[in-house]
Amino acid sequence: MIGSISAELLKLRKSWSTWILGGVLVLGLLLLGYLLIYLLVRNPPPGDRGAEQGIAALKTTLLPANVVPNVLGFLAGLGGPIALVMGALNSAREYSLRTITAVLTQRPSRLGLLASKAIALAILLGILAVCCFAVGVVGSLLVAALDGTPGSLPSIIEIGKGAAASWLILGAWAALGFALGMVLRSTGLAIGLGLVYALVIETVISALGFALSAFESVSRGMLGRNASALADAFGQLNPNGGPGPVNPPATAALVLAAYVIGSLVLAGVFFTRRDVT
Amino acid sequence: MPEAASAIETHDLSKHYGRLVALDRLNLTVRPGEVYGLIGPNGAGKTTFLRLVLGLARPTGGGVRILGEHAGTPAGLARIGSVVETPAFYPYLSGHDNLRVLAAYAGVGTDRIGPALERVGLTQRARDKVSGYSLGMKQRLGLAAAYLKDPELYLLDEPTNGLDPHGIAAMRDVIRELAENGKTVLLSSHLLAEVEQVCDRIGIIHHGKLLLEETVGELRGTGRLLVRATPLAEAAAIAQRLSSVERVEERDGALRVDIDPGRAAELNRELVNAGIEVSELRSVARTLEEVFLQLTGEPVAPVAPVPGEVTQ
Repeated sequence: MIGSISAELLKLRKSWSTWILGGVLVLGLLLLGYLLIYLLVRNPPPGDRGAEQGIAALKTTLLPANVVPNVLGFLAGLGGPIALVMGALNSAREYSLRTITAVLTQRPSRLGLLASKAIALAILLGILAVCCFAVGVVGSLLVAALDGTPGSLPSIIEIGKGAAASWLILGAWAALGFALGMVLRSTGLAIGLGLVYALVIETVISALGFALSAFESVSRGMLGRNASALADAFGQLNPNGGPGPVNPPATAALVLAAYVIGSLVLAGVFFTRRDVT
Repeated sequence: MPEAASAIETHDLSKHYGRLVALDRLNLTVRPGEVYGLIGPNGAGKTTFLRLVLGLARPTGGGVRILGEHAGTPAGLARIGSVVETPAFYPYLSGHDNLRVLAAYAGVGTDRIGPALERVGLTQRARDKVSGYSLGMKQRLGLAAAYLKDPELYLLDEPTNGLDPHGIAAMRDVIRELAENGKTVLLSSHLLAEVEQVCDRIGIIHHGKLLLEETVGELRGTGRLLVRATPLAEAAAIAQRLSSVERVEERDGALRVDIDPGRAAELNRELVNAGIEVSELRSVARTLEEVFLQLTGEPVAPVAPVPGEVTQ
């Protein structure tokens, strides 16, 4: 098992897709989560008082005290689809490259290989979550310094909890992509369907949930809504800007954990029961 | 490590894909230390058989034991080196890094990578990305991957695909070297000459069925006489009437008569008594191609149907 995990980590480390997707996640947080908003705050468009109030509220999100909700909010939004693509690549690419035969004829059992892949992916996502929080801390301290606003960071425990929550959010999305990759055995199809779910189906069902009670209960089980609910537990940065949390934080965390376990079980069932083609 | 009586042993091994029968109750035995050639036309079921042996696919009937283990178990796979179909590697990794990955999966040390690369002549290109490798280089890297585990059993599926003549000759030497070192080799191929040159025993597979399993000597040594006579057609008809003759073929101006060579005098006597002028009569070995074509239903210019002969 240790050997298989080190093999998976080596592949992840040497793959351009890991660096590109990880870079998009971390740099995306820096650019969209801090730099863009900071530029907007410093150069507000002329407008009414409502707009000025909104910009003032935006400014507070950049300060060190709000680093946890700011980073989590970004990861619960843009981070999800990126993690989904990482998960799909991790599983389906073995079929696309036809390397699955070479791997399985070496020694590992199918379940052992699946577990190794999941563990290596979890390690990668953990590193990315830590990197995102490091970027968030540096970014917020820079904003505070440039703005001359005194600000203090949350406790290390609070940041740790935020990092753990973001790991769970990224893990749930990645597990879904991983399962899609194993079931569909096609990188393109797994990523395509996963993104359709993340960007279209979730949005449509959430929108319908406001109008129809039947869809409201469905939206309580949606991955993205629960990721947002968990992020909101660390501080809702814009309470009037969107729908409230779909579930309490503990329930949201349980739903995300269920996505992780359910996706891995589904991947395991398909991977162990089907012939390798 | 258990000492198995057979390296590979199948019992009524079957594989169906819906209504398609890929393997039909195959009973095959590969003995330890031999080079076994599994030959058959494309689509005969050779690769399906290897996939079942490696646990990549599951049989729909029967079973298979490899080195005393069930197919696809980590304990069994640790003792098998395989090159199945065209080997696939991670194109974004170098040849060396691909072997690092595979060595880690196999649970063997990285100290085996260098010697394996050297053995297949890829040391100079080991740090290049596999995406730049030719098909032949990938085949050699696949063989290097098989060497990593220093296995007892090698499964080689069409290993000369994509190799140039030098590579093909080198592959033959590799197989002979493995055999000299006591390794068991199962060579799957549709290239009869390749198999004939290196294998001890041969199994012929067609439409998922094992038609024959014999040593090369047994296959070629089956009685056959070459007869040159005038008139040839009349000589063929007389030979056909003899009860001891199994089959008569006319080719290149001579007859190939399947008969116990010890009965050559009887055949000669019958021909001469019928007024046939016999200019040559000698025992000849059959080529593997002749046996193969006969068994797979593509006879080489048969003179006349023989009662009871299996013609598919």
